[in-house]
Parts: sequence; structure tokens; C-alpha cells
Amino acid sequence: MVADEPHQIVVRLDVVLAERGMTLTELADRVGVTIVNLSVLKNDRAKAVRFSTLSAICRELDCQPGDLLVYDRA
Amino acid sequence: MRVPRSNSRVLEVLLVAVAIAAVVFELLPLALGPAGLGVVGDSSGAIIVDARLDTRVVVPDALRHDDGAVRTGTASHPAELIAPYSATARILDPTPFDRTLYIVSRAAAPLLGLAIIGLLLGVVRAVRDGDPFTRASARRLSLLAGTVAAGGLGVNVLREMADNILLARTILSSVVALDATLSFIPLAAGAAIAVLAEAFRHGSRLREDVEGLV
Repeated sequence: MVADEPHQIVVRLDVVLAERGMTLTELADRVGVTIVNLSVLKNDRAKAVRFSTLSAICRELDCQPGDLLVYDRA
Repeated sequence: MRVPRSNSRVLEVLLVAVAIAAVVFELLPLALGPAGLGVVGDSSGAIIVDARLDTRVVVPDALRHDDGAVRTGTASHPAELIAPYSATARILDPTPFDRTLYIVSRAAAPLLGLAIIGLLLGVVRAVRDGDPFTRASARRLSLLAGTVAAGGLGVNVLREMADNILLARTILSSVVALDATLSFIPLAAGAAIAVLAEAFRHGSRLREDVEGLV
């Protein structure tokens, strides 16, 4: 099944957060997503991201989706 | 929508209560009754089988009218009996084979009930844990569908066959009509549960899809 297949998408949320000087808790409050879910995303354990979540994160971090998600060829 | 844990708990308690009732009111009396250990019930050791009497059974002429129907009742409350007539046959002094056949045919239904309750408990516990749409639940429901369909039909067939064998082995065989009526309700119920199992299988796939969605 596609959902169970491994992927090569790396989430750079921790890097962007560090660049903006923002904590995960603060971002969770601003975006309205639980810190548990954001933690799942930050630690590359998410299998999918809602566009609404991605939009909210990009809005709060003032970045583009490409700043957060990178395709790892290795 | 999440089912409140208390509702699932009530359902679980209800299922366990039904299982206990099946053991206490069905299996225990069978094991301790005349056909089993003979501790309770009819002290003569007779076993009782419902029978349908053959149309050859003679009804006293005094009750019979010209058209063959048997009139009964009173002038102000007329009624009539129409063949075939049913009867309750007491098989006196049954052999060990008769007893075994009787017990197996009577125990099959409550045992099937216990198996069904066991499978249902698994599904109810998954609902209680807030995680019903799993492959395990879908598997349990598929198994339940098969058990209800095959088991229900099998129990019917077993009982009919056992009764026919028991009656055929007695002197009653000359007046008893061997019966072979089967209910196809278990097949319909099994098919309905199979549809539910397929819905759960689909639900478990959807759940796996959204697992890890942020």
C-alpha cells in the first residue's frame, strides 16, 4: 500500500524554526496544531501533510513549502 | 464519531451475561439432564424430541368429518385440526449413542452462540479502545460472517438429522414423518455480516491512509 511505502521527503522544520528563533510550542499555538503532531512532522515521522497545515506553517514562519520539505535522493 | 467507553463497556457486560446465560441455562442442564449425567430433570432418563406425525396417524372417527378434517371445539367455538400433527416424543431408555447424539445436537447451538459472542467481544473491545477500523476487526467480522452462515446452517442440519435418526431408531418411526426443513436465515445474516466486514476492511485501509497525517 502506498501509505506504508518508505519515502525520501525530509522535513526541515527544525532548521527553519531555528532560523526564525521560534520554538515548536510557539508554532503549535500559532498554527493551531497540537505539539504532538508538529513533533511528528519535525521528526520525519509524518506520512502526509494537509495543505491547510502547510499553509499555516508557511504563513507563521514566512517561508515557502520548499523551505520546509526537501527530496533526499540518497 | 467515538463511541463512549461506557457504552462499549455495557455492551461487553451484556455479551458476557448472554454467554453465562447460555452456559447456565443451555449447556449445564444438558450436561446434568436425563441425556447427560442424569442428575436433574426427568428421573426416567427419557429424552424428549419434537416430532411431526405422519399423515397415516389415525384420528378417532368420532372426531373426523367427511372431508377428512378433524373438527374439535364446541358448537359456539368451532375449530379443526389439520394434518400434519406435531407431537412430543419421549424416547424411553435411550442407548448411549442416542444420548450422545441428543447432547451433541442440542449443545451445538449454544456452543455456536458462545463462539459468536467470543468474536463479537473482540470487535466490541476494539470499539471501546477507540480503534474499531483495524485489519483485526475486519478479520474477526469475516470470521463471524462465516461462523454465522456455516454454523447456523450446520446447527440446523445437525439437529434435523439427529432428531430423524433418534426417531427412526424407535418404534415411533412408523407414525413419525421424517422432517427436513431448513432455515436459510443464517446464510442471509452471514451475508449481511460479510458486507459489514468488507466495510470495516475498507475503513481500516482509509485509517491506514490517514495515519501519520499532520
